Amino acid sequence: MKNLLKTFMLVILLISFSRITSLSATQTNSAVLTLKIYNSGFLSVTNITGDVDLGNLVANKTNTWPGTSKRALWKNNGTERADYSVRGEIIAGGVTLASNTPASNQIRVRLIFGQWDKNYSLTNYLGDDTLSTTYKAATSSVFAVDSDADNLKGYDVLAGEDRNMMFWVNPGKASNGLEVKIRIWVKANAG
Amino acid sequence: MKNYKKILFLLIFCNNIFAGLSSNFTEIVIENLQPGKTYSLKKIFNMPYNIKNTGPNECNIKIYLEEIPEKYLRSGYQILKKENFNWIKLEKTNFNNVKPGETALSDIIISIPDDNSILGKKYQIMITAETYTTSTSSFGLEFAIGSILRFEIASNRLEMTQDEIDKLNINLNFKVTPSSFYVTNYKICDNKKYFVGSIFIQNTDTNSQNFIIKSLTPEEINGIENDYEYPPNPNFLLISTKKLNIPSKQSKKVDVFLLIPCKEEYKNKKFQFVVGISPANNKKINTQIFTRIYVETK
Repeated sequence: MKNLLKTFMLVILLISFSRITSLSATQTNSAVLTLKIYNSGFLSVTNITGDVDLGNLVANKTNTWPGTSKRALWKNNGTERADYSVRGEIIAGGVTLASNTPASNQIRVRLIFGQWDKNYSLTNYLGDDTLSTTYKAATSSVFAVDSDADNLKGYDVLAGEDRNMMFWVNPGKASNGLEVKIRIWVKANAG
Repeated sequence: MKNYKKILFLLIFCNNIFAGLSSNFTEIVIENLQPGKTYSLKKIFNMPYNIKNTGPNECNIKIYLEEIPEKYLRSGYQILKKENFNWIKLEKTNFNNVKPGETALSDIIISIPDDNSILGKKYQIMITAETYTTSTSSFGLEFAIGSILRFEIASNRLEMTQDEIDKLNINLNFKVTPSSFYVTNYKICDNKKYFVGSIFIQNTDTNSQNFIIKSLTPEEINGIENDYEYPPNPNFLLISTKKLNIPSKQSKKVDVFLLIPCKEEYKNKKFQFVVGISPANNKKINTQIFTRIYVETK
């Protein structure tokens, strides 16, 4: 009889314990939605004012590779490490290209990632790549540089670091000297 | 005089070239979404997508969805394909003449199809904001920001009406800084406790709050970058305290140390540890903020 009572008490105890356990499990899982924030800081990209070498790009018969040089200095002034990529679009409305030169039907944008001093001398070479696109004697429209351009080169840039970039733009040898328009997007990606 | 003319030329013709963007909508994960239901990030989390013009001039900003490039895809997630972009609605996509310092806001509304085949699935998408000009200059330098949104469909259906979901609401009432630490050249066999840094937790609520601080296991981490490995043991990261009470409007710090045992298998590796900080409450919406610790061993 004593043993039976003991067993009964034990069963009661076990049931109570399992109820308590399941109750606490329910309590900890009572959330119906979870929000997780992996990067709570700022992603940012800003060019450094005054360090962009500007000028018109005019396709003409004398342009040869590397062509017109442009410089863009930009910086990760956010609080996050970011992975930077570059995309380009070339708007070559009405440009007719000569057909007898190697660069005749190409527009190339060479990007050199690195750091420059105030005299524009490259002090720290990090890598480079060339965006290029081929187009026929165009009548209009926008040319994406290439389908992978969004991922051209990703460089992790720590918060506060400069990652400067130099462009050499060769609009090709155009027979009519019309203007070629180029847009470059520098993108900071959450990486 | 020549220089003066040059500067004037630059100012007149090239003012669109100086620009900048920033956003703190960087990488967000939302878990436990129910099929057939719609979630507004603005209404539920008070967290619309935001993008700030950090340049000195007005700019136009365009926001759009992109398939996430493979290299940003976290393990366990799949790319939300273009044909399913209608799951995500951006309240507003074009912002014209955004003034310097001004922030453009757009709600993100996630509508999950009423389909059992997607139960337990995880998706990832990129939200891109970019400047654009209507300038006729031949060379334009524009800027863009790519933010990551990840969302996970619940494994089981919950009995919840849309009305109940619409009533869910939370204010993010704490902040964590920094988001990441980098430890390079960690020498495995030094056998010294390496001080990684301090994590600061700020309680922005009007009441005091208890927080739980934890080094996450691989199962708890929502995927890592491709070139990193999960921590072999989360306990290699030593945290000065695992529970913290922080009075209203105050901050406290937690020190983080690293001690990886002297084993050949841990040498020349790139590990990513993650520390998760969450309020110890029992609300209907869990919130967690993370600090990632990137470790390169020698």
